[in-house]
Amino acid sequence: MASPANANMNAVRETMDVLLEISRLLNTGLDMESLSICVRLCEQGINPEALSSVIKELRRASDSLKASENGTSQG
Amino acid sequence: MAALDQKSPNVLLQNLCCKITGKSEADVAHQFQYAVRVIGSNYAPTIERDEFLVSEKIKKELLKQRREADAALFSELHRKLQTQGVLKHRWSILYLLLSLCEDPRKPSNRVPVCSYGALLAQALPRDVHSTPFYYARPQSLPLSYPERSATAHNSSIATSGISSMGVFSINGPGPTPPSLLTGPGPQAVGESMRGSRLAWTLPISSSPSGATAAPRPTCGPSSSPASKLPQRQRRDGDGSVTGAWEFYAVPLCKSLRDTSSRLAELGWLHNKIRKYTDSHSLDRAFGLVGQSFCAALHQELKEYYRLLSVLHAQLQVEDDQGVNMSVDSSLTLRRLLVWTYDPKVRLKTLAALVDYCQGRKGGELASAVHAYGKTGDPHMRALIQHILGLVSHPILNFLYRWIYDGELEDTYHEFFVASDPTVKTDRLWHDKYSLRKSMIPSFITMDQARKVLLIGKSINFLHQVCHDRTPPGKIMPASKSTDSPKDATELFTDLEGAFQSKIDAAYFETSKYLLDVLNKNYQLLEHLQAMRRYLLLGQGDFIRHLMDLLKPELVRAATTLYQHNLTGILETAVRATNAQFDSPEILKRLDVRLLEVSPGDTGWDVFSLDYHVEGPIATVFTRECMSHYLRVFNFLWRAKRMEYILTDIWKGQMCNAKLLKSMPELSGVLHQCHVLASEMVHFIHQMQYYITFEVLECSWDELWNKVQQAQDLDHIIAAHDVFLDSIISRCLLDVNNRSLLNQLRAVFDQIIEFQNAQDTLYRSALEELQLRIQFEDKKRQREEMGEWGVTAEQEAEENRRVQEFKDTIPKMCSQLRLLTHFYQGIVQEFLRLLMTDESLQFLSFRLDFNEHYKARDPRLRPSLGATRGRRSSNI
Repeated sequence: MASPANANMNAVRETMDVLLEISRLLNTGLDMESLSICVRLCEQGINPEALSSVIKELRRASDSLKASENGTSQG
Repeated sequence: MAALDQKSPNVLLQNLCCKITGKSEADVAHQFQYAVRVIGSNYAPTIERDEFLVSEKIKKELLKQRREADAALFSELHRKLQTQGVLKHRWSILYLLLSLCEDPRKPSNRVPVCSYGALLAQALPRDVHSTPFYYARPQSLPLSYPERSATAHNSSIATSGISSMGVFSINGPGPTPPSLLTGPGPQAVGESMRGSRLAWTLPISSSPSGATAAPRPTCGPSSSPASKLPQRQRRDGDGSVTGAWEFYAVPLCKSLRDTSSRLAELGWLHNKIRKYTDSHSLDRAFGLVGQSFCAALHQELKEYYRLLSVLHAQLQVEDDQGVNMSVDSSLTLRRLLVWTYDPKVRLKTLAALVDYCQGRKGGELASAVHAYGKTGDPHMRALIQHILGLVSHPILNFLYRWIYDGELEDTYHEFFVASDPTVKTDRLWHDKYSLRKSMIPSFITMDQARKVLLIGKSINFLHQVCHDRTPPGKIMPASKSTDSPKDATELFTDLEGAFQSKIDAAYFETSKYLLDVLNKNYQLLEHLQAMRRYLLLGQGDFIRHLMDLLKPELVRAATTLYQHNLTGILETAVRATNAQFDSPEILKRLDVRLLEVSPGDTGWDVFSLDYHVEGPIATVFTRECMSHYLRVFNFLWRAKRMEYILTDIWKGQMCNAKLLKSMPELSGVLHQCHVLASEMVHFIHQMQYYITFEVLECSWDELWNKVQQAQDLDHIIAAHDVFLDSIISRCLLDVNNRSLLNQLRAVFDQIIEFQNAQDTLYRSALEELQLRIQFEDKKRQREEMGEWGVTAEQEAEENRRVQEFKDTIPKMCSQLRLLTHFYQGIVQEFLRLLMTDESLQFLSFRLDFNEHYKARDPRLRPSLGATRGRRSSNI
C-alpha cells in the first residue's frame, strides 16, 4: 500500500530534481518552491506562455520596486 | 515538496506572486489580479505542443551560449524525464523553463533578452490569428482549423512572416542575436516554409553605419528592465485590422511603427488576394475563365512566397551565424522595405483587380481585367496583359472551336454565344443561337461578335439542316486552335490585325461555302425566281391560260369545287405553256390551295396557288413569308381577274356594236356602256401598270442584286424580308392602307356589277335583235311565197314587242347611270384617300394624269393642285 505511494513519491522527487537541474542549466532563476508551483500550475493545464509572461512581469515589477526603494533609501 | 497536491490554480498563483516578489500576500493583490487576468485571457497556448521541438530549442539555446557540455547534460536529463513518466504536461514545463531562460553572459540587467526572442518566437502562432500574445482569442487556434491547416498555414505564414516582424530595440551592437530564433520551421506543412514564424530582432539602423545605438536611448533595455514586448499589428483572416497592438513599455519610436505598418500592408494585400482565390477556386460554377483568373493570381502569389522564403532564408543565415554577423548584411527593416517595394506594388494591383472583379465571371471578367490594362504604368500594364492572356485563353478557345467546328460546350455560360436547346432544326437559323451581350469581352467589338455568331451558326446550319457533313477542315483550310495561353497573349499584341483577319477569313469562307451549298444543292435562287413567276404572276402566259381554263370552274359556288379537279387543270395549263420548261423540282412544288369557304363565295374567292418549301429553303421562305406571298397573290389574282373581265366586256362591246347598229334606240345605252367601260379599263390598267412595273419589278430588281451580292445567308434573308415588306405596303396590303384596300375592293365589285349589267343588256338586246331578224326573215319568206309579208296583227304584235323593248331601254339607261355614278363616287373616294398617303404618289399621279377627276371633285383640287404645282416646278 505504501510502496506504490512511496514509489510514486520517489518518482516525483526524482522528476522534480531533474527539473530543477534543467532549470539551473537554463538559468531561469526559479528556486525550488517556485518551480514546484509552476509545475503544478502547468500540470493543471495553464498556458505556459501566459505563465512565463506573468513571471517575467512580476520579476520586473519587483525589480523596479527594489530599484526605486534603493534609490530613495540612498537619497 | 510534497506530492503534487491539488491546490486550486488561484491559490497557487498567489503563492507564486508572493514568492517572486518577496512580499506578503496582502501586498501582491495588484500583481495577483494582473496575473489572473493574463492567465485567464490566454487560456490555451497558441502554439503547438511539440516536446521534441522545445527540447531542440533548449539545446540550441545552450549551444549558442557555448555550453556544449550543458547541452549534453540537458539531453540526459530530458531522457530521464521522459522515462519517468510522472509529468503529464512535459511540454508545458519545458516550454516554461525555456521561456524563462537567461543568458548568463548577459550583463547584470535582468532583462531576459533571450526571452524576448524566445517569447516572440514561440509567440507567433501558426495560424492566421497571429502573434499576439496578449490578445487572446481562444477560438483562433490551430485546433479550430484542422481542415484548413494547409491553407491557413500558408496564409498565416505569409502574414506572420511579414507582419510579425517584431521590432525590438536592442541593446547595442553586440550581442543579441541570441534572441533570434526561428520558429518551428521543420514542422511546416509542405510549402509553408515561406516566412514561417520569423521572430526577428532587428537591429534597427537608419543608416548603413550600423546599429550602433538604438535610435532612442530609452529604448535600450539597459534603462529599464522591461520585459515588455512591442506587439505587432495583427490582422486576422478577413483582412481587417483587429487589435491594436499595444506597445509596451518600450516606447517604440514612431518611425519604427510606421515602417512596420507599411510592411504589414503586404500581409493585408496578400490576405485579400488569397481570400478571393480560395473562395473561388473551389467554386466550380465559377467557370473556366474564373478558374484561369484564380490560377493567374495564384501564380503571382507564388512569386511572392518565393520572395518571402528568400527573406526567411536570409534570416536563417543570420540566425545560424550567431553573434558575429556583420551589420551590413543583416536584414533590417529598411532593407526589407526596399526589397518588398516592387512586390507591394504588384500586390496592390492584384488586390485592386480582385476588388474590381468581384462577382463577375466569364466574358465580363475578361472585360474587367482588360479595362485595368489601360494604364500608363508599363509594369502594371505588363502584369495585366499577362493575366489577361491567361484569362482570355478559355474564351479564345471557345471562340476558335465555335468558328472552326461549330461546337459550343459552355457549361457555365461564359461565352457570348448562347444556344437555346429547345429550338428545333427548322428554326435553327433564326432562333437557336443568340448573342449574350453581357459576356462579350471588351476587346472584341460588336461587329466581330456578330460575325463570330454567324460563322458558327452557318456551320451548324450546314451540319444539321443541309445535312452537309464536310469536315470543317475542308471549309477552312488553315484552321488551328490556340493550345497554349501564349497564343492568347500574342493575340493581344496584335488584336486589331491578326484576330480580325482570322475572324474575317473564317467568315468569308464559311459563308461562301454555305451559299454555294444552298445554291447548288438546294437551288435557292431558282426557287426565288419560281416564286416570282408563279406566286407573283410573273409568268404571264401561264397565268392567262390558267385563268382561261379555270373560268368556267371558278364561277361555280365554292363548295362545289374539288381540289383534284383544279390540280388537273393546273397541270394542263403547265403543260400547254412555257411553264413546262421549268425544272421538275419547281413544278412539283406548285399546287392549288383552296382557302376557307365562307357562305356565298364563288370559286374566285377561294382559289389560290401554293408553293411548297421545305428544308434549308424554309429558312429563307419562312411561314410568315409564305403567308405574305399568298396575300400578295390573292391581290394580284383579283386585279388580274378584273382585267380579264374588262377584256371580256370590251370584247363583247366590240363584237356587238356592229350587230346592234340596226337598233338605233340602243345607241344611247350602248354609248354609256362604252364610256363606263373605258373608264374602268383605264383605272384597272393604271393599277396593273403600277403594280407590275413600279412595285414588283423594281423591288424584284433590288432583291436580285442584293442576293447576287450577298455575302452570307443573313443578308439574303434580310433582303428578302425587305422585298416582301415593300411589296405589301405598296400593294395596299398592310395595315395602314386598309381603307384604301377596301375602296379598291369596292371598285372591283362595281366592275363585276357592271359586267353583269352589261351582260343582261346584251342578252336582251341580242334577243331582241334575234327576234327582229326572225321577223324580217319570216316576212321575206312569206313575200317570196307570194303572201303578204306580214299580217296586220303580226305587225301590231311586232310593234308592240318593239315598243316593250324600247320601254325597257330607259330602265337600262337609268341602271347604267346609277352604276356609273356609284363607280365614279368610289373612284373619287379612292383617289382622295390616295392623296393622303405620301408613298403612293405615283399611283395617284398615274390615275389622274389629266386631272379629269380633279375637275369633277373640288375636294381633290387643292391637294392635287399643291402636288401638281410642285411637280410641275420639278418638271
